This record gives sequence, C-alpha cells and structure tokens, in this order.
Amino acid sequence: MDPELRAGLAAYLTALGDDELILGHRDSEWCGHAPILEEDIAFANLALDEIGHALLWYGTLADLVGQDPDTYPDRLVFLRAPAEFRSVQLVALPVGDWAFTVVRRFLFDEAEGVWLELLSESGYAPLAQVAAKIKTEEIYHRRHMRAWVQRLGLGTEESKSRMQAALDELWPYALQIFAPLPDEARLAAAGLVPERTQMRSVWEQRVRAQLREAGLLPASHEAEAVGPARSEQGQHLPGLLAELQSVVRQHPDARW
Amino acid sequence: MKDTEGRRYVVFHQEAADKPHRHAGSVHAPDAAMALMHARDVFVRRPECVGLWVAPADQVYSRTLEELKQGAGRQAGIGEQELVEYVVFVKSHHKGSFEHAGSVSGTGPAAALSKAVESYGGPLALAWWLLPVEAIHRSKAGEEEVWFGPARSKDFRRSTFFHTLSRKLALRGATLEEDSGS
Repeated sequence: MDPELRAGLAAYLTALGDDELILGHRDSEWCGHAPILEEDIAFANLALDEIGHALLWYGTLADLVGQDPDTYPDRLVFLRAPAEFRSVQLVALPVGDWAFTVVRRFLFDEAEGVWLELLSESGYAPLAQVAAKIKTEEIYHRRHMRAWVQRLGLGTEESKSRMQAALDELWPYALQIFAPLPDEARLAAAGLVPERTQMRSVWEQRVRAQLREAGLLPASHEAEAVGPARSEQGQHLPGLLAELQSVVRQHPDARW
Repeated sequence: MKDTEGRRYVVFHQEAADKPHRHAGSVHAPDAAMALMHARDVFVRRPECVGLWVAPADQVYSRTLEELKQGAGRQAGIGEQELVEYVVFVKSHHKGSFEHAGSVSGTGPAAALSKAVESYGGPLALAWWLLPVEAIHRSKAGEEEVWFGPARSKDFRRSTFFHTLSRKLALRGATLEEDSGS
C-alpha cells in the first residue's frame, strides 16, 4: 500500500478505536449505579462490547503498521498522551444523568450503525471484515438504546424534559463525528472508507425519525456545522485517561 | 420515592432447538418488549441460547403436587367461559426448573390444569405452571443471530477463560494422573 494511504488509514483506524474505547470506558462508570439492576447488567455489557470493538480496531491497526496485535493495543490504550487520541469530544463528556447517558449512546450508536454498513464494503479487506463482525452486535445495541429513548421520551414530564435537555446539549457534540480526518478524502477516493457527508445525511434522517417518535426534537442547527477536528480534544479526556492509565503508569512492569 | 422497578416477568430460556424452554429466573421491566431485552442481557451471558420467552409473573397459574392432593385447583371452571389456550410448564425434580411441556385449552386455568395433569403429568411431576398463550412474549424466529449470536464469540464469558480456574483444573488433573499412576 502507498505509504501516505497507509498513514491515513492508520489515523482512521485510530479514530475508530478511540471512539469505542473512550465511550466504553465512560459508560462503564454506570456499573453498579444504573437505574435498575437489569439495566446495570445490560449497560455494563454494552460498555464492555465497545471496549471489545476498540480492541478489534486496534488489532487491525497493529497489522496495518506492522506491530504485534497482542501487545500494540495495550500500548495504544495505556501509554498514549491525551493529545494523541482521536476520539470525538462527545464520548469523553462526564456521564451526567441517565437521560444524558442514553441520548449520548443513542446518537453515537446510530452513527456507528451507518458507518459499519459502509465500512463493511471497504476496499481494505481487514477493515471490512471487522466492520461486518461488529455490525451484528450493534443491531442489538441500537434496539436497546432506541427502546430507552422511546420510554423516557414518552414517559413522564420529568423524563421527557431531561431527555430534551440532554439532546440540546449533546446534538452539537454529535456533529463532530462527521468532521473528516485530514487524509480522509484520499482514503475515500481510493475506496477504502466511505464519504462522511453521505453518512451524516443517513444518520440525521434516522435519528430525527426516532426522536420524533419519542416526542423529542433535535436542536436546530447550521446545516454545515460539524464541530472541531478530532485533534482538538476537549477538557474531559485528560481526566478520563489519567484514571484509565493510572495503574500502568505507577507499575509499568506489572504483569497480570 | 417513585417505584421504578416495574412489573415482574418470568423468563424461559431455550438452550438448543431440540430442548424445551426452561425457567431461568425473572426480570423487572415496564413492558414485555423491554422485559425480553433485559432477559437477554441478564440470562444470555453464556453462549447456549436459541430462544427466550417472557411473561408477566402475575399471569402464572401455579399448583404443586401437594396442593393438588389437597384438592386445590381441581374444581372445574365456571361455565359460560371462553376457551383459552394455556402453555404448560412442569417441574419434575426438586432441584430442577420448570420446563415447557406443551399446551392445553380450558375454560379457565383450573380446568386446563386438569387436562395438563392428564397429558403431561407423569410419575415425576411435582409442580405445574400454566400461562395463557397470549401472555407470553417471544424472541422472534429468524433473529437468533442478532439476539444470541454475539454471545457465542465471547470466550471471556466462559469460566474456563480465566487463568485461575483453568490452572486449578490443570493442577487437579495432574494430581489425578499421579494418583492413578501410583
């Protein structure tokens, strides 16, 4: 593969893995605290699934750049500085209340659903294979989150107003998902990744339809606004990583 | 404080296409669709599952062998009632679970139970559950991959995945070999 394409693809896989890792880690904070026991188990599993997906993307990345897929993911997760991550700010935001958590997860999972469909047709076979594998699991994730969006949106006055407030706050953050990476146009031209603009319109159509059904309204917005580049990490990622990486940093030679 | 627990649903879990649905436990949920999702998340942690049923726990008509001997539930249904189809579950071992046995129709659960005892009783039957067929919400046939497929690829959900257990088993195996060799 052309070295520039390879570098671009590596950055793309990093972004895919980082979104899943950070969202999975953030959502795992609900373990033991979710509103009901059944959801506690379900949501911890959903969080774990995301971390599993991150591992798949990092493994694909390791193969692409000639690193050991068994050890490279750990290095990516535990030894990178916040500025080296390429996750969107959406996934690093503090957990907030349950409505905030549900809306964030819903907006993200719907976007992930769109890109997995397109990525499973990527011209880079290893990427297409991982996307196809994750796709099935994500169907259930979307059902789970849609079910919560509906029940809270159509629930009580309080659940509805909390959902709407979360949506108003999160909508601009969600749009950052559609901010292209620096080399993305070249990757798309080579048939390795889908066009992001195409993803955005499909996502928005689906999300708006779901929200309408739940009696919720997405905030109005400038059609072209997509949020900052992924290199611009917000204020919340460093704290999250400090916790995630604390044991490895204190005991770099530990084995378990 | 508001009650956020919801209604209780009993969960039946099918491990393989040729095995009966078996009572697995219960979940609380605001409605049947959510109960089915919770059932999947709580009880399909391990890969062996091809089907799930949930039903409101307050719809279960339950009788034990002792209760039947004392005459409870033997009375026929009061006339003029509509014929209802009931799904029958039987418990046959003290440590076992209720297992799906078949279905019967009756003008009420008591009448249906009399038929169920005749059809599915057997010498080992200890207790019966009857559920109106309408009360059961089922995972859809053809959707097994979406509902249960992902669990199959998660080796970490098997106890043997964890080093401590596999090491313990290995040690025990080594001890047994030494024993048999001596």
